Amino acid sequence: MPSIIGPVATAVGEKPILSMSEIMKYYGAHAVLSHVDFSVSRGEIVGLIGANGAGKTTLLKILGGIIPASAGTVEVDGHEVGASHYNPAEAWMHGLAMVHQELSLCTNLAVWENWALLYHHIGRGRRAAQIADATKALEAVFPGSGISPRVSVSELPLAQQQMVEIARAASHPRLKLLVLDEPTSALSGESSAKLQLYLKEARARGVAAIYVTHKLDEILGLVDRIVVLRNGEVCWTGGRREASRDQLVEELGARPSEQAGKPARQPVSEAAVFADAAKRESTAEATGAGSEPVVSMRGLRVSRLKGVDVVARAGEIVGLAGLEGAGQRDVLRAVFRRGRGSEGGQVVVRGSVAYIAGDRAAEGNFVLWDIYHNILIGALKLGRVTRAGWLRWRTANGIVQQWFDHFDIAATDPKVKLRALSGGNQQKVLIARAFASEAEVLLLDDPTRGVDVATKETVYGALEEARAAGRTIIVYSTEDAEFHRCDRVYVFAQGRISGELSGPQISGAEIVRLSYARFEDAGLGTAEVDPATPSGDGAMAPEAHASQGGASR
Amino acid sequence: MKMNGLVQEPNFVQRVDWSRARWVFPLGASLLLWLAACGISGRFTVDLLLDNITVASFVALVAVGQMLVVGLGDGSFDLSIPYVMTVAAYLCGKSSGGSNTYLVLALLAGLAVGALAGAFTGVLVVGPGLPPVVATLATGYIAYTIVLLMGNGSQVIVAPGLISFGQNSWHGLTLVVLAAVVVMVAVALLRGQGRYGMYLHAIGQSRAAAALTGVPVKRVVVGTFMLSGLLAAIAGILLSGYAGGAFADMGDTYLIASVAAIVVGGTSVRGGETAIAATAFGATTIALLIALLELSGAAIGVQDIVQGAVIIGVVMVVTRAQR
Amino acid sequence: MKVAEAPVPGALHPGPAPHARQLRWLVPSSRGWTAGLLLVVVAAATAILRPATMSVTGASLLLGPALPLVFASLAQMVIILVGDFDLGIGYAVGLVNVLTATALTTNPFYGVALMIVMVLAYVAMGAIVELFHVPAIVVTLGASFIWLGVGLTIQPTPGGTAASWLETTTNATWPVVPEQVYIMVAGALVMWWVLRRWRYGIVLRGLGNNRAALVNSGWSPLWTRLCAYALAGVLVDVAGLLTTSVTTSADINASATLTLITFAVVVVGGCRFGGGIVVPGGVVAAAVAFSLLASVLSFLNVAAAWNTAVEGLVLVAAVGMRWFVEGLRRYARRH
Repeated sequence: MPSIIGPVATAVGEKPILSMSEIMKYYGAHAVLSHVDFSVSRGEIVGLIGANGAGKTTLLKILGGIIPASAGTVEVDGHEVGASHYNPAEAWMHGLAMVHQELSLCTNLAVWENWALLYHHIGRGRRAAQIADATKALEAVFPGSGISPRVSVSELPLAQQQMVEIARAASHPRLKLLVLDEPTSALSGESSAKLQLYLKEARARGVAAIYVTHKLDEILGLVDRIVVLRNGEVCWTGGRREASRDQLVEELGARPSEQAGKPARQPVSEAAVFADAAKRESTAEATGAGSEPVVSMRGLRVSRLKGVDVVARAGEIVGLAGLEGAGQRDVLRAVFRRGRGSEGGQVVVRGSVAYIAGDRAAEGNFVLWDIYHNILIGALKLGRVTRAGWLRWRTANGIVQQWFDHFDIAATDPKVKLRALSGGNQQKVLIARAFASEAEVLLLDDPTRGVDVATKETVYGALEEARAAGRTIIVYSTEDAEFHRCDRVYVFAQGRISGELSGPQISGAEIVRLSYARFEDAGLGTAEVDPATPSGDGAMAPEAHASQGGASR
Repeated sequence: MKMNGLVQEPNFVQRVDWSRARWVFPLGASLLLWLAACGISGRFTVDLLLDNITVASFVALVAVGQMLVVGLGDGSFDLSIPYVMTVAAYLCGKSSGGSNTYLVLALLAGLAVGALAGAFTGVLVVGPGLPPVVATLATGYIAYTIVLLMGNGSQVIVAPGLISFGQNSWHGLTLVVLAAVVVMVAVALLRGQGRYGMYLHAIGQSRAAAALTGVPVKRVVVGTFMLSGLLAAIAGILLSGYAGGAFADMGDTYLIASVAAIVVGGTSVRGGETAIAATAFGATTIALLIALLELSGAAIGVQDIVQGAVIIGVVMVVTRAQR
Repeated sequence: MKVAEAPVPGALHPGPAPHARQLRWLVPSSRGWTAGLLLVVVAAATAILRPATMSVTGASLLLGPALPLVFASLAQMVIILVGDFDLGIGYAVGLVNVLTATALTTNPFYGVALMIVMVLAYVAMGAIVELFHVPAIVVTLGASFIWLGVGLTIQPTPGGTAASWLETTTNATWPVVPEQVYIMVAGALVMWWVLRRWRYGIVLRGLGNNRAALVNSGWSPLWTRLCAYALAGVLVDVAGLLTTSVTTSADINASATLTLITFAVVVVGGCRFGGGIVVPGGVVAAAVAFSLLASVLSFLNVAAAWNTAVEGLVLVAAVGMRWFVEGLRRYARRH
């Protein structure tokens, strides 16, 4: 792996503030990070970019002490930190402050009180002093923002909450390294510019920073060095002047098989793709695809979506691609709810809908139940399963057994508790549930996240079956390499559709390119996202927050 | 499709989930307590058991209702049970006018008011999104208002037919116990054999997942509160028969007792699971515990202390075991 | 709704001046406004029905019985702050009532020691909730039996006497403003200070809102919860003391009805059951209002049995009003 290119300016012999070498991270047999060398010198701003699933968040969590690496060493401020006892508190003590995607403020407290919560060990107990600290910090990072420290966080729009979070981390009294994970996702161009100015000032004082973002233009204007992660490996690193935007996009999404010496992860030959496409076309004709669409969405505006048109027909697999949080999940939800609760646009769905959740723990698993009930719950609406509300066990048994066998779920029988299964098998159970419902439209929310290769094959095999049977399938996935299995792919960027690909057009590189598309009217850094409705409950806008935060790898 | 090379015969034991036969513990505890009581009183008698079972039946009925509400998860509790019991008993008594002529109608009226109270609570919870604790409190207070309006604070005469039902036995078992068993079997069927049961458990385990699976969450929530109200009404009406009349504070001790029975029966109060037999035996265990303490001559204060300690102890053990 | 970025600090929120914003938390605020309104209405009704109560002596007599409810409600408020419920608070107050009318009278040091034990018992409950992950409802329910049992063991029938110094604390006649008002306001002020001025109050309020943020900032949820429960224990002690002072006797069952009323008071006072948002001033106002309500009803010759019913109606009305106003606010914000 290429070793680190020297920083912009550093005293010879001075140790880097952060040095990670040969970092490996496995989840099961799956290597999320592989042989990663990553270091940051004092007074250097490093931009870390990578498409979905590249491993950025995992890398940040390791350097922040939240999760341990499977192998490799981490040195912070010259001290080697052992994986066993490294934790966020220790990272803090070494001068590392981190701002995550998920905001960690207490919304019922005032801005300055959130400061006090974090800086309790600072002796300045007096209220006035705390408030002054907060004001000063806010002015330092975001001058002129007008955020009053006395205001309750719940009353601030999302953008200002993000500013508070950043300013709070930046007030670390012995700050040496500031790690920012998508800091400007909700900020306006003006605020982003202020943050960049602040980071440059801090750099002059010797404070280093890691800046993770999808906004390539920001990176090019700010950082000293860029590191590109792809598939858990550092695939390119260089000074800011060494790369153009297009070059970076290419690095982000180049075909895995192009990487020298590494076997392709998802071997796909051109011939296979065309053969697939040809087969699909004939299937499409057979099932009458091209006729009246089963799902039709026009001008949908809800949460992050700013006017989106999506169409899906019977016997089709439609993919939703793009960077996480660009609005794909909102589309799935809108289809499930048939447009209820949206702010504009029209959604028409002809047929029953089944939703397969990606965040299994929060939205999919019924943890106290066994496999049997987890599958059966999906089939309860079928006419033949119940008679006047009473279950017909023989029919139910048959249905459960059928799908249990079909998906080859690794358990002795359906009476095994769901908890005992691996992630991949749990996902299979969720899919079995959706199939058991015999719904005409299947919505899949990142179904292959965190599952092994064999399960992925099962999942896509099932989708092909469903397609052959004339169902309509809409899949949101964060693994760009899988979209070649779809008939058509909509690529999302910043709440809009940046492109629609079909057949042989579908390629990882093209998807990545469209994921980073800019929209003319949005301009650099995008228009400010609709702020959270300041409600008395202290609730933050759940939709925007959820789709922006996303689950992490 | 063969799995792992093994051919599996479909093997479903759907009517009884043997892994969840938790009712064995409270049943065992009840029997032990009864034996201990016999030991203390020096006579081996079934009367003691039967008397306490009758008293326990009322608790068991409301406890099952509370258990369903608790099964919804998210901190759902029904604080209106004592008041719904009373208002149902009052309405039944008043409509019967103290005679048997319109007994059936009076019974239906009592049951209807219970279901109505539950429906009201349910609507408060799913509509404006009131926490169930607040919603049931409000419903309870309204029910109590109606009690006062009807009774003016004095006792209400109940139909003689109801009284004779409440105070008679059949082959040794009081009719009250039999009625309670019938009702609980009905609820068990609904829970185990009906779609409703699966919906309830789904919501209690993960409301978000239930919604995404197509479970009609709002309807099930309202329905559950209605069931709890109905069960409270049944208990109240039976109790008025047993006691020979309905009086304003007849429901007082039943709120705490309902939660205690669930806990001692070993069911989690966090939601997602229900266990009817276990809860029923939890009620008998508590009743027998109290009887034992009385027999042993313990002062009433000591009885209460022991009861409280048992509740806390059991719940600590059960929660530990579940994790 | 795009929020423009104002260049002038403070211009973004052209609300009341900073001082006024702080006072909001003491006075019935946007959250406690229903309580304030209720108090005004009930106080007016009292004044109209019995002009004699407008004298200092008259008001003293009327406000005395409100004191236990005030402090019991504050205790419940603290428990709700960290996201729990206390189903046994009535009997807890009753137990302290018994203790202070017996042990405290005969042997002050012993009595004080017992009161400290009470606080420790509350801390123990908090520990069980946090360490064993048991829902607070069940623990407090079990505890209520224990409080009742201990109280009955010490004082099986109503009786006991209050120490003379205790008796006079709430019976003093002070000029202009009745003494009871001072006590209540002191209670509200102290709670306000604990929550808003004390550094640890910030942590207490944060626990019910974002536990992860607390942990990430290095605070221990266990100690935070224990602190809250200890605070509630102290307030329960005060409520029990005041009960003894006002009734000059011990009766564990007299306080039994407090539990459900404190729920109603806390709701009307503006607190949210989700944890994290409580209004001490509102709770005190609501407690006084509920107490006065009972008196008003007796002036109207309404039978005592109706009290519960009226309290319920007030609860329903308050919740309904708040929901209506919140709905209006949300509607206004959107358009």
